[in-house]
Amino acid sequence: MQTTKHLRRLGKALALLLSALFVDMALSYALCPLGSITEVTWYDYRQAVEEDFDTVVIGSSYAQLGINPFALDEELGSNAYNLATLGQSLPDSLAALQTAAHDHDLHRVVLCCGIESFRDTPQYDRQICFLQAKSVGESLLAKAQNAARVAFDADNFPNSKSLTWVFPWMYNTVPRTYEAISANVQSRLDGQTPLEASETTESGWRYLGKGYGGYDDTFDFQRMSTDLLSIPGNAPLEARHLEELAALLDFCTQQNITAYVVMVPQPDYMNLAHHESWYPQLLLQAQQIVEEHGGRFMDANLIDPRIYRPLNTDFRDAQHLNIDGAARFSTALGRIIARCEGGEDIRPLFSSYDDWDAHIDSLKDIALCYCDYKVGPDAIEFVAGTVAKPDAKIEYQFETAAAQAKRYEIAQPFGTSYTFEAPISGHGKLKVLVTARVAGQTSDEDACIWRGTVVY
Amino acid sequence: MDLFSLQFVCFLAALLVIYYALGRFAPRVQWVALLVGSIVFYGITGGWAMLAFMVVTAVTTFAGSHKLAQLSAEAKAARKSAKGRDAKKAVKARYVRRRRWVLAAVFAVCLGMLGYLKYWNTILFNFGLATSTSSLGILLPLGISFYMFASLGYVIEVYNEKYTPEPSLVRFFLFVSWFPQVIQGPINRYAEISSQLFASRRPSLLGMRRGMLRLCYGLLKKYAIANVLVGNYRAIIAPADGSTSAPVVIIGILLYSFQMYADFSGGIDMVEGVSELFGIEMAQNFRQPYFSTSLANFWRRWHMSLGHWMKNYVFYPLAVCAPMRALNKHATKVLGKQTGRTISACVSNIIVFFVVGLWHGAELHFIAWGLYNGIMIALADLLAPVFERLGNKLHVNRSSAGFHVFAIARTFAVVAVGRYFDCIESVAVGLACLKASVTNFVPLASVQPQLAALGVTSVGTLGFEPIALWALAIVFVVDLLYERGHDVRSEVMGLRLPVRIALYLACGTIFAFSLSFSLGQGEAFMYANY
Repeated sequence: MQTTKHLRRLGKALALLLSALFVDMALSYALCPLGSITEVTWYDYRQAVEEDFDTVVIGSSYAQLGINPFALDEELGSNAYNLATLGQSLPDSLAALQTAAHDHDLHRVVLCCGIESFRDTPQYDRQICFLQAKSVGESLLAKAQNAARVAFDADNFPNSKSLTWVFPWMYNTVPRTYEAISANVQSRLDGQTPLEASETTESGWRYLGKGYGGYDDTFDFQRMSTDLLSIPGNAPLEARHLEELAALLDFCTQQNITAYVVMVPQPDYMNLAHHESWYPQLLLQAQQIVEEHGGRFMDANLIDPRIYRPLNTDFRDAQHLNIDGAARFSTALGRIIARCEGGEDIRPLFSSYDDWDAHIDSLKDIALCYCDYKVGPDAIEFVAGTVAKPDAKIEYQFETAAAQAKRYEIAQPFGTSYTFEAPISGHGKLKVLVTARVAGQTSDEDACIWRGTVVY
Repeated sequence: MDLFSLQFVCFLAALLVIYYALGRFAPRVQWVALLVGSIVFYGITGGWAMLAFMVVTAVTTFAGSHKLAQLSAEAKAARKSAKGRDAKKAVKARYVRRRRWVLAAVFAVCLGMLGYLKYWNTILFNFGLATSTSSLGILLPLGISFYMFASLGYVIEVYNEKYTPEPSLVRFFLFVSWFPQVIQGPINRYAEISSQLFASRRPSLLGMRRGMLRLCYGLLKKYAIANVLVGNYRAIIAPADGSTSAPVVIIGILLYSFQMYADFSGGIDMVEGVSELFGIEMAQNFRQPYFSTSLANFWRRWHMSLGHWMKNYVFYPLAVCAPMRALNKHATKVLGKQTGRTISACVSNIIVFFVVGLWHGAELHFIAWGLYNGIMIALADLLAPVFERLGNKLHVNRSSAGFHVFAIARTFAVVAVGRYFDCIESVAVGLACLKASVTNFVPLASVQPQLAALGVTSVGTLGFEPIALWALAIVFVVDLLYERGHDVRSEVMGLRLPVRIALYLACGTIFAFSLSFSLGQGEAFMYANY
């Protein structure tokens, strides 16, 4: 009698649990987008599991958009796969590496980072996306391990994030419109692969294969707005992230995999903005960890400019390389790694953080000009600025033109004032060209330009 | 440690297992599990260093209560041995004085500590001696007001000789530190909770199901209403001033009213549910407050444990103190019997609500909010006969359903006016917004663009996110059923399985959909820092 009662209760609890599971799965099916970049990366990896990869690239968007495995292969004679995904945290990078090491006989791993990789709190929605994409086709144990990694993550464990990953459709989701949801469901019903679906869901992104995809567009540094001017500030590296980096490198040592930790190239203005000593000191800390744990550390910004130097046209935004930029950088990186593995001492190919000031000196006096503006009832107020060497005395010139005009008129000639007011009446458009140069220099080469069109 | 986190789930599961295992194998020390669990919870959530303030409070109130009991016993013995009425009187007076000194000393230590931690920085700021209300960097221990008031209530009861003090400091510390109450109350009374804390018990499936249901209902309120609405209410209220249009201010106040209720009562439901999992029922803190028919009635339904505390330990002592009796006498002589008698209650009410305002914080707007409530209740008491006569003259049927609904709406409006001083951090701005609410009328078509310009989301539903509206509808129905005398939890648990599953799934889906609003904002309870 008692047993029957218990069984009935158990049955009811099970019915509730299964119903909840069904609803959760149905919502995931409808709302989680088919064909996200992360999903494509893992989908293609599973498809190519029979391939004999010996090199993997891991890391966040820096690596996902910055390393072209085909270019690496050409220089190294390797068979590389890019397992980096957007917002990939270091523990997720380690998980990706562990999976690849389990599936293949890996010789080397390339982990691409920016300084933020050692400071930022992991992005929860990216963690969820990674968890979902990686878990497809894995064993139940591996799935549980993936989930446990998110649930017990130090940032998640004491708050709701440790539980809410069971609702992935909350974080990895299509826009909540009827059109978007029905299109997503339709593409699933049509049996589209993530790769096929990505052609419509990831606008502008082009998949080239081996986990790598990118964008063709080039960032216009002459139209830099202040909200895109994201210069990381002086905050210490998180001890936790350094421990995660050490754990990743220790795994490589155990598995006899050569680890390359690469600081990705950044536009000149970023380097110039980091003229202060804290920046090289912080990265020196990371370098020490890497070398203590058996890895090789390379900062792409310190490579001898005769071998590689990023151009402004290599970037698709202020931080990430475009397809051409990634190919150039990957080729250069592949060559350096090949020389390193050929037994050559590659240290002379790089400046050191001790020579950071000399490195900064080698850059142009002004790397970037930007401008902010405010439209008032009678005038537009412009405030210009530059990312320049600290002791550089800058002068600005403001030129304006009507929307249709081809020629600009000098509205305020070169001077130390960085503000300018353009009188307006009624409504219209005004084109503005700001030129910044070091006081006294007249060469166009050394000047920096900002251009914009203001609607008033 | 958030209540909705894996860390808390692990903590709770471990504590439940240990507690009920002890109940089976060592029932006499079962409560020790609760004590250790409470200390661990406070250490992790509030910080181990902050535990020191709780220990000082417990030791002070424990020692004070024992000294009071000792003086009581001594007084009895001394009075017995004293000869003559005058001698007995003199003994009594001497011991009353001594006992008052002890009580004052306990209050001085506890309120001194609370005053320094909670008010000192704000007081200095108000006098221009600090750059902000937090510039001194004084950290407020988690739930200090709640465990402090519970402890002081205990000492007052001992002073009034209602209890024999608890002989064990360790057991007393469990009463002070019981972990579900330290987050945001309720303020428990020793007489009501101690026997439950120290009783030995076996797990009750029914009790656990009831507790779990209440915990989940609290989660729905907190996550699907409070955390969803908090962003929009802040977007409106933070920049609001005298130039804000009437509909926008009113929408902000409405959002705040529902957000605050869901946050506070949802949090209380969660902690009450957690406590019920251990078979311990804490003091009730809410009884459908938005169905109140008067402001006084509202305060008997909102934050009830604070209301009881204020009534028992501030209102009654004030109402019967010598100056108040003298005031009563004088007022009766001047204003007549009926009004005169009400005067002392009115003054006591104003003082009580001044203290309630102060309890919320030393900022002037909290004091203004407290005074507003006190004055409105006092006016309602004083003018009750006028309203009565007016009602009779207009032939108002006060027992009709229509009048009941009117009274609820009127009370909601009166409470909402008070919210201007509660959520707006400047009295002047609060008054300006109040004025704007009745003067700055704008065409209704311009309201949505104005909300959008403030960064409010879901302007189509005036800042009430659809998910929150669904949850509000559920809370309204549940409150209405409770108001009509239903035991909703029992009735839900008695539903047929498919209906119950459908109900749980609907609520669960609403809850899950609301989660994205919670990441990074509003996870902490509004009342956790009081």
